[in-house]
Amino acid sequence: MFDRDRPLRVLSPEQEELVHEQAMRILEEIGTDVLHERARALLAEAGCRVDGVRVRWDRGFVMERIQSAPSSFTLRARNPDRSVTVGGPGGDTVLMNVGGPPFASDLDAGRRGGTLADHDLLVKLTHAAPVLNCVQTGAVEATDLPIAWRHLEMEYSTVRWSDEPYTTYGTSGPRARDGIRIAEIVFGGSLGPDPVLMGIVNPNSPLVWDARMTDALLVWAEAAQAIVVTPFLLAGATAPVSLAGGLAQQVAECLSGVALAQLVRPGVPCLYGSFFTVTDMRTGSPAFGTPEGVLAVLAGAQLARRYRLPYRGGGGLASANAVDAQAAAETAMMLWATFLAGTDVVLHAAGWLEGGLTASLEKFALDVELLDGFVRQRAGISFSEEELAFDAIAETGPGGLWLASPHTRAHFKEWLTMSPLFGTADFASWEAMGRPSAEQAANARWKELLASYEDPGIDPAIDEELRAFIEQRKLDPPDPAEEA
Amino acid sequence: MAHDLEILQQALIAADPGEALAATERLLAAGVAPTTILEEGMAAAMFELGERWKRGEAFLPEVVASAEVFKRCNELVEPALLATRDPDAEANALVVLATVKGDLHDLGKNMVAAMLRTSGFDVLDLGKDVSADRIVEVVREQAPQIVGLSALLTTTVPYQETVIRRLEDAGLRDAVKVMVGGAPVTPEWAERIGADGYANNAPEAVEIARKLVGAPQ
Ligand code: B12
Repeated sequence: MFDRDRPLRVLSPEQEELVHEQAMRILEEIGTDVLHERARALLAEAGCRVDGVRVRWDRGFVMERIQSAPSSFTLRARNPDRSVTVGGPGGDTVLMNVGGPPFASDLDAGRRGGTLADHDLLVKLTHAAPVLNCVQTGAVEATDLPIAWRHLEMEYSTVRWSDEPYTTYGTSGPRARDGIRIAEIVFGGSLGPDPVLMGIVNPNSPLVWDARMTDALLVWAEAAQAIVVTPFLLAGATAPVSLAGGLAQQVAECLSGVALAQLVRPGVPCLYGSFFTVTDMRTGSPAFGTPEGVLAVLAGAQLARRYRLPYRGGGGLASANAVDAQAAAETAMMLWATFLAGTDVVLHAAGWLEGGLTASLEKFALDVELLDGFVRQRAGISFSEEELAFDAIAETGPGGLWLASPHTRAHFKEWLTMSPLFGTADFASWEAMGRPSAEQAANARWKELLASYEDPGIDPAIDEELRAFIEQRKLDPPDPAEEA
Repeated sequence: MAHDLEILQQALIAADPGEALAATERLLAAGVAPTTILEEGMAAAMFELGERWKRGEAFLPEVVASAEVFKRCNELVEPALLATRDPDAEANALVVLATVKGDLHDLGKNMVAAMLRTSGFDVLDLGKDVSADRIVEVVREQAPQIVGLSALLTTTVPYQETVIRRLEDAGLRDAVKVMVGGAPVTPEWAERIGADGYANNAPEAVEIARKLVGAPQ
């Protein structure tokens, strides 16, 4: 089940071909704006037609360039046991916490502006949850810190409180560079051939490569770090209202970004990223967990496979404002799609609420519970002698009671999932317990998870160097490119 | 005439530029007062559309399309309006809108622009990634009643304050009302930076704008 090489297919071979063909036409006939001067110069030099800021990308150039992107790579963690393989048949499913929300919330303290303390807490929860194997920096924005150096403290929070691989917080070239410097310290000097971090770039859809994000892309490419090229498509707002047209736009944007990265540094790992959902035309806000969003996750995976690129997509995405039935339904829809798509890298797998505006701790616990279930499902059905259970069936015999069987007693703990979150108490007992809600159970659950957190520690010399770099950097005048 | 006003209203609601412009031209040719065309034809239609949107019966692309047609009808009516206007009378209030520097999120700001237009405001949309210098310059030259600042990133929200300080430095702060918005913006923040108004969504933005220019709500 959940075969990475054979995601559930929603596009026929003819449809796949149509999407590809149209993407190539978009790149050649319409092109993209590239607002980064040096990138434009590089592309012109490589033979692309540049007209003002408009770049027209020949299919030959794009398709040839993307060949140098590996179909799988190792993402090194500072704890080598926690390194992951991204992409390919033997790849890991890389699952991460939510990222980006300006607000944090939990049942005890309510919804508030995110702080560095909240960020630390989310990193620790991610580290503690066995199903999550990667940390997304910027789990919540540390809005209690000045913007000039908040990214440094969030990056430190990630590398200090977890030894898992991670994505960096790079929303511009200078911030991306700071992230690289921090990684160099953590990994003891220069970064080896395998990447140690992943950076996320979004073109400014439709069809614009803006200066800041392109700058970050160039920085990561030059440093040979993994780049997740993710067009952010909202059907009807940043993409056509039709999935077919949106997918072609997605391919055009993804592949132009990957081609640019490969031009800068052939062989740098790049992911085909999909974040494609619909605009709710009643409010203008993105709607998650919709049928179109589910189809887009699956179609994106199919296209990523076509281009032999690892796939970033899906996530525990929901529009709901509370950890309620809507949140659960939207998330379950999205996670099914994520796993059936054989997704390699999943950002926002746990804790995403309110369309990404809030990192919710209860939602985090709920999502971890769902993810555990998916990982269990992925293992499929096992057929050992003991599991086929002929002898036990003979022993229990016709009319026997399986509850009393030694076979049951020996294996139920291992073979049956009992959710720590979802109860099955009868109505009267549940009422007597004070009608506990799933949200309350989730509140208790994240606290348990936090209690189980073990500090991975950090080499004191490295820590000292990190702190020294960060404190020094705080004194630097803000980069003109960052001047708000 | 009553008939053409009715046609104009329907055409605006349906975002049919052909019908709407033709009806506007017929009304003008028939000598109907431009204020009547504007108020009883155009504004009434947009008010109705806004109400439908709030009830969930009209949708964003429809509102945006109607706002576009509204703009084109307005271009026809405006010369006639200026010719007849009592020089002392109030013009439509002008709102200058911008997504602040460093920020490329403009969907919400565009919605606010569309809703303000449909509510009879003149809107000058400066786009996204707009610097304080540019805003100060436009405020000086165009003397808008309101400046609306949108920011969606926690890293660009502080720039709303930068703009307010720059307006102060330029001696223009008292000449214009400032309203702020965007998903991470809170009423507390708006108050702290000394903004005159904050709104959570586009219809609320219209209410706040009306309040700020002292218009009946
Ligand atoms: C769509 C989107 C994008 C699109 C924007 C396309 C566009 N043309 O606008 C793209 C892909 C370009 C984008 C890019 C990025 N984004 Co973005 N994006 C979003 C998203 C999903 C939706 C925003 C939106 O359009 N909402 C719908 C509109 C209708 O709502 P709204 O903007 O809030 O506007 C309403 C009100 O706020 C109010 N309002 C708005 N403006 C104003 C102004 C006034 C004066 C008033 C009175 C009212 C008002 O009325 C509006 C209508 O009701 C949000 C998450 C979210 N759910 O909000 C993330 C989000 C804002 N983005 C985020 C991030 C991180 C980014 C990137 C940095 C990602 C990256 N690594 O590249 C870049 C930054 C680019 C830049 N420099 O700006 C984060 C913000 C993180 C933070 N802590 O600040 C968010 C929260 C997502 C997340 N969880 O990570 N993004």
